[in-house]
Amino acid sequence: MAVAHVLILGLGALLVAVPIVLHLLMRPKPQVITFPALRFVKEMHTTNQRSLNLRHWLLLLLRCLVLLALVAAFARPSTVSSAFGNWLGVGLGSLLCLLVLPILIYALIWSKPANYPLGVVTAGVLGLLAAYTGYTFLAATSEDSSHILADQQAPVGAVVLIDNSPRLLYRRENKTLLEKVQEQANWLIEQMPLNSKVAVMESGDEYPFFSVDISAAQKRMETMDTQYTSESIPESLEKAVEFVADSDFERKEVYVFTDLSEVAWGDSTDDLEALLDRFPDVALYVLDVGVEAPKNFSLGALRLSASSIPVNGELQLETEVSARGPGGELLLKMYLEKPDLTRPVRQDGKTLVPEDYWTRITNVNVGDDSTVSCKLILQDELVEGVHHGWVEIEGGDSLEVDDRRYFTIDVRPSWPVLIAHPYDVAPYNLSVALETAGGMFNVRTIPQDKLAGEPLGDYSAVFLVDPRPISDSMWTNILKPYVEAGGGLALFLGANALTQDKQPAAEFRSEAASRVLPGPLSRDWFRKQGDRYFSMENLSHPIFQKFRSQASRGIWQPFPIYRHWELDLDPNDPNVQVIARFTNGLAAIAQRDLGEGRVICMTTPITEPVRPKDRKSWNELFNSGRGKSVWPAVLLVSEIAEYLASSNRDRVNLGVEQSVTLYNDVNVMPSEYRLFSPRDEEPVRITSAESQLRYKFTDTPGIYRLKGKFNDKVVLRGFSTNISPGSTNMKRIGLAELNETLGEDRFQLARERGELVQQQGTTRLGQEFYPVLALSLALLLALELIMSNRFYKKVS
Amino acid sequence: MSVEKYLKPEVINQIKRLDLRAKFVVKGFLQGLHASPYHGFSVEFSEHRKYSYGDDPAHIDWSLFAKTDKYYVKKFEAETNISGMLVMDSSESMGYTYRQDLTKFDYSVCLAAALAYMMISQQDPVGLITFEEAITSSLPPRSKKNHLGNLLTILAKLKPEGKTNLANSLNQLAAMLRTRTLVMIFTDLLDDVDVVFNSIFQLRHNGHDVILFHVLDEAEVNFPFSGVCELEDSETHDKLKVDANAFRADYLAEIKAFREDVTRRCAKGSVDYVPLDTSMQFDRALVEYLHSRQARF
Repeated sequence: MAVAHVLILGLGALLVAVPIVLHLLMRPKPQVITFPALRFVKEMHTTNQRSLNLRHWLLLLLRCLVLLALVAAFARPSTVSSAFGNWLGVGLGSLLCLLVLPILIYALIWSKPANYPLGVVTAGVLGLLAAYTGYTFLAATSEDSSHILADQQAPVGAVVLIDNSPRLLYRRENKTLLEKVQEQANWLIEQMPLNSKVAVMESGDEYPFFSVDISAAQKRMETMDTQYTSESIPESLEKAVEFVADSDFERKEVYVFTDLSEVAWGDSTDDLEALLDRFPDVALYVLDVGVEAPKNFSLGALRLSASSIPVNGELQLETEVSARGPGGELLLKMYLEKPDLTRPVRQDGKTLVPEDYWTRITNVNVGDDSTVSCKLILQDELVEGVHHGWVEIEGGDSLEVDDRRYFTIDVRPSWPVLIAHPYDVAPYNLSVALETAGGMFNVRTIPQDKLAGEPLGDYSAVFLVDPRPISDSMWTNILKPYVEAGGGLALFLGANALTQDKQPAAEFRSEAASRVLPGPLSRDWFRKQGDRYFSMENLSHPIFQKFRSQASRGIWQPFPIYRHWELDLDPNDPNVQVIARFTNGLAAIAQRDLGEGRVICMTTPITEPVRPKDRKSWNELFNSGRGKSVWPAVLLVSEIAEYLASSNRDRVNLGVEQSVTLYNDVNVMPSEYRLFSPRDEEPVRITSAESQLRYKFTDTPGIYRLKGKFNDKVVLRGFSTNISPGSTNMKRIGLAELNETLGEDRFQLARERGELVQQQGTTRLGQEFYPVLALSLALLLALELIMSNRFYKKVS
Repeated sequence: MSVEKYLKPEVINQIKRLDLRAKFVVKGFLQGLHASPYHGFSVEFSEHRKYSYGDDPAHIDWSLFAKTDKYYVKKFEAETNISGMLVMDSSESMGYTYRQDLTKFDYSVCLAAALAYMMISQQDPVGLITFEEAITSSLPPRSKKNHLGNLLTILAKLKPEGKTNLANSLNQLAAMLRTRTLVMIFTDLLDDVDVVFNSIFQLRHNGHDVILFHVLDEAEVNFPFSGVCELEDSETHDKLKVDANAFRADYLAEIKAFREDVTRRCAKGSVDYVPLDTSMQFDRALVEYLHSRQARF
């Protein structure tokens, strides 16, 4: 319970003395009437006089109550909403007690014996009323929390938490939601009481801090920009509540401006509710700035067929178009910049970028609240170099940020791949598989015994197909240095690794071999039933990226593995990893990272004939008999080749705020670049360190262009960043979810300023008794008027 | 214009002369009787009845016999043998009215005058006694026309003053009256009722008929006050503060009980009791008188 004007309450107490003094000293004189029949009056006078006195005291009580109600109304008492009912109960109970008490006194002291039952009943009623009043008083005081301050102008320690996610760029009434939030938040900060401190916090901020003064907070608010990766609101809220709870202000408030989207509020934990319970003096206001029924088309993540494409190769690009709200037919357009060595360049304060594009357009028909996939293909036109491009929904909509997605591809000549094979092994299947892989590989096939004379450094990857035993010097002097220098080596071990007595050849178990292979061969496994395959579990390795999209999990079932090697792998070696297993749990494909390069070893041969001479086939990976398509094996070798060949391939398509690392060999590339960010700022210089370019300020989605010079030749590189596709999902949570996250009745939800002001008043001052007191005052005045009129009626 | 309106106290108040007041009251009353259930009970002098066996031949109207050759008896002549005595209580309390045109005393005087007028008109002798603590003036019963003038003169001069001792006065009256007399007492009975009734019973014991006109003010009967008021006794000047609204019901019950007590006492002593208040028409009192008169024959 709090009182806005304590002084009035004190003065009021003095005012109550006025009717008492008037009653005692200045009682109005009644009219004197001559009445001869006074003797009849005299006989009943005593009883009447008592009742008259009682009524006078009752009138006095009423007048005192009128004054008390008036004073109490002016003093503006208030309490928290939960205690309001109980305080009303206390007031009502006390009033009834005051009214019943005179009746009891009358009944017990002055009345006739016949009225004694009335006295008993009245005493009972009074007892019950007193008990009720006492009980409600206890309940009210226990629920009344201390954070209600009578003075609405007391300084406030407030955190204004703004959800400045890209969803807030949604335009409505020619303003983005963020602009509206800024307006409202500015107004909110402006009307903070004197000496208040405000901390403006973005949803991604590590910690909130109080601005120096109100204008600094407003400045921060005005300069606030969209943050493309942000923490979930509950997480930020935890920090805000903890921060403000620690402050010295008596009144602590947290305001959250949010669109109440599921994305922002989804990851709720019980911690927040517990935290809010722990700090009941922190008032929490949730200001809903979201759109009830948004209309938005959005693009999903781009899936490129490859981020590194051979010259004249084919670029396939897949994405999804989603509609929130009503759907419709729209145009999806892809732009791919043609390389222009004169661009990017700064001119007149602007960054000029290439203006020639290859474009592709497709029609998309999206239903209401649904998603459709679409595909764009660019073929036979690409020239060497790094290309940037984007896909966008033509025409745009209210939320433009998710209508465009950027990508970067590296178009380069085919990778030279060397296949070495013993004379008795025909690598035909493998070479065909690689050559048909979109022109990415330039394949050369040589016998294994010619390997020593071949300059391996010219090849991006070397495939050893079912090799015969390799000498230690070969392992140590040729293969190991080749891999360490950045080459990729693939070994497909098979029958040639067996000795005459069916044991693994010592050359594959030697120490030299063990340094290159993921592990020495330990034994071979044989199973003629044909129920062992590649397992599709745990396909996290990049080789299996394209297999992940295959809906069917049984793609390997038509291709049984009858025999395979077991590698003696050291589980503690950090450079060795198993990237695929057979259904019996043993390693099917293992990888060793060696220097700058990688070695991949498959424990069953890839080019196994269906019916080899003098022995049984090890597998049916390339058995295309009975109409089977051997695409899984073709795709697998192609992916292995691409993985090995592009071991220095950079990740050039990233999410916002992901730091980027690009391979940069200063022997063939510039050591310094200028970086043109999509923020249209002056370019920044970044220099190569340890053969790498690092950049981490990728907070804006778009194309980041790198321009450098090597031997007077312009080198253009770059990368693209995109917002996470889910971050613009405008699906909202309901009040029930909000209650679950924050706790029921623990927060105030407002949409308009008026609502907020009202709720601020209710929370800061609690629920006011003024209306009740005003009503009571009116009732008491009416009673007083009736009673006094009855007493002092003028005789006509 | 009908004279019946003169039965209303507020109308009779506009007439200053008491003789005229009395005349109007009686005329109004008699005119009203024609339409009243008391028809046939008339006291018109022209009324004769046929002689029948047993009638005193001395009452035969010979002049009518001369005209009609039939025997008629003049009834009134046989009835004029009652004398009345008006007893006025002129105590101070009688001079009270709260909101009526006539005080209790004025009302009583009008009524007495009307009765006197009517009686003398019927050749009934009528006298007057006034008293306060003791008898202040008395006029013996006479039936002559000029007696009415004397009687009205005294009545008109009377003023309600001083304290009352009705009982004592009635005792004195009892000693004074020799013949059987109809004693008509006008009082508000705001005295010791036991003593008063002892005196009344004494009168009855002496063979006199008594009509007790109990005149109260309308305010004394209805207690029209409201709110808190201070009541003052006009005689003793005692004061009392009361809440009239709360008090009214009790007071009315009290006054009713008082009247019932008086009624009971009157019934016990065969006294005609006429409870009146100053807002009532005069005919009620006159009818009561006629009742009483008829009962005597």
